[in-house]
Amino acid sequence: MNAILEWMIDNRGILVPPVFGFVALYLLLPREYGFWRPVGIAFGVVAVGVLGFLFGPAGAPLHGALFYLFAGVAVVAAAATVTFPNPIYSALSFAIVTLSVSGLFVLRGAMFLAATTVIIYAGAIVVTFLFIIMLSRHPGNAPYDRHAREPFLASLAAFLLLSILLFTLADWRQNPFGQPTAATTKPAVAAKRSVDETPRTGAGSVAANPTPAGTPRAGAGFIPIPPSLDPYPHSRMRADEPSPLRGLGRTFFSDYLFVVELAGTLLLVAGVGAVAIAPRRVRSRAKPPAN
Amino acid sequence: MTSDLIGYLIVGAVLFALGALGFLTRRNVIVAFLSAEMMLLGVTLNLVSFSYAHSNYQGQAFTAIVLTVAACEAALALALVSALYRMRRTLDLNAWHDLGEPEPESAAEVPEEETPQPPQHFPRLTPAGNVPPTAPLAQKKPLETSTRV
Repeated sequence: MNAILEWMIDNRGILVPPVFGFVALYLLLPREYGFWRPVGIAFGVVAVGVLGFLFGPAGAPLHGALFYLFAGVAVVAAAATVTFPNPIYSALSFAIVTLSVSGLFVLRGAMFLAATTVIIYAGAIVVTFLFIIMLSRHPGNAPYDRHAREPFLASLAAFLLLSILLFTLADWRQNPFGQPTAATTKPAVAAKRSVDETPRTGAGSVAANPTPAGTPRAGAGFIPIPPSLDPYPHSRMRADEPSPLRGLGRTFFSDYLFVVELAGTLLLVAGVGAVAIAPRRVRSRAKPPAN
Repeated sequence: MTSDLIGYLIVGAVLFALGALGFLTRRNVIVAFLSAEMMLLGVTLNLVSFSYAHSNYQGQAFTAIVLTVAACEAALALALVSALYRMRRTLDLNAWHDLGEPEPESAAEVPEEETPQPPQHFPRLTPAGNVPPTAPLAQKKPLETSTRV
């Protein structure tokens, strides 16, 4: 317990983005009086900047620039989605969040998922919900859009969650693979895990050499499962693949074939359910009988 | 490489927290739904970045499943929201806090239209024979009910 507290006090700079973000979002949420809005925007800019300074990637310059672009746009548009009083603006900024997240997907080599995310989220979900918003729109913003429900408590809860996540991730960055050190807060679990795993991977011979013959390209410092023990051998990335799409297709139709069928069935059931739930036309039913 | 990974995890965490905030505070059904979708986006970003770090396609496959479920959820939510909007004429979440109650005061109700009932004709039979004069009241009742049926 003391170790946790000491570690948190040592890394108290991590608390800056959640606290500033809390103030910013609390001031920006829709409410009666809006003159604190520039102050909230200033706090939000400080929060995003400190977050990027603390946790920014140190990689190739082009990759870093693209990452900053997509991540910054995603975070700012997410805050805009939550805080716009006009639901149409909210939906459009959610489309921007989707686009920038699919940019991040491309940076992580998931081209197919990037395209699918754009088609499904920005193309289908946002457009259908814009339809609903426009069909059910009052002149001006509705009163339930102009007042948030419990803005203080909700932003407190959300940013407590965010600060806990940030502390966990910062701990993991300092000590990614669970070596027990004095500053680590969970040495027992980590030590137990490393003891458990070393004999299984062949006394460290496989773990020391992560690319034996036939094994795909090395993971980013993670200990790879040896191929003889892998329950899903087809879903590894291979070094000689021309595109990630081929590997993803192989994964879907070998290891996850049943899951793909299940997803198709789920889509069918959801379509039938939506037709069943959707309201009937009241006009035609209320028409009096012909006699 | 891990310092590369952590940026994506941070963005996913921020998207998740902001989506949770929107889901808690916003009173518009559609904005709350979009916030829930934003939480899903944060989680999928985590999955994809871990898939890259492990050089394994399992995270991406799971992300595709999440996308499928999100599409189903959007279809059902579309049907539900339009049905509920037809019922209460508002998109306020507070109007549906009491789903089981007959009606809240704040929301206007669309009156249910009654289907016109066909006029009912019951056969009326004139009592046959002479009614005995001794007990007229005791015999009128059973006669009427028997003609109704």
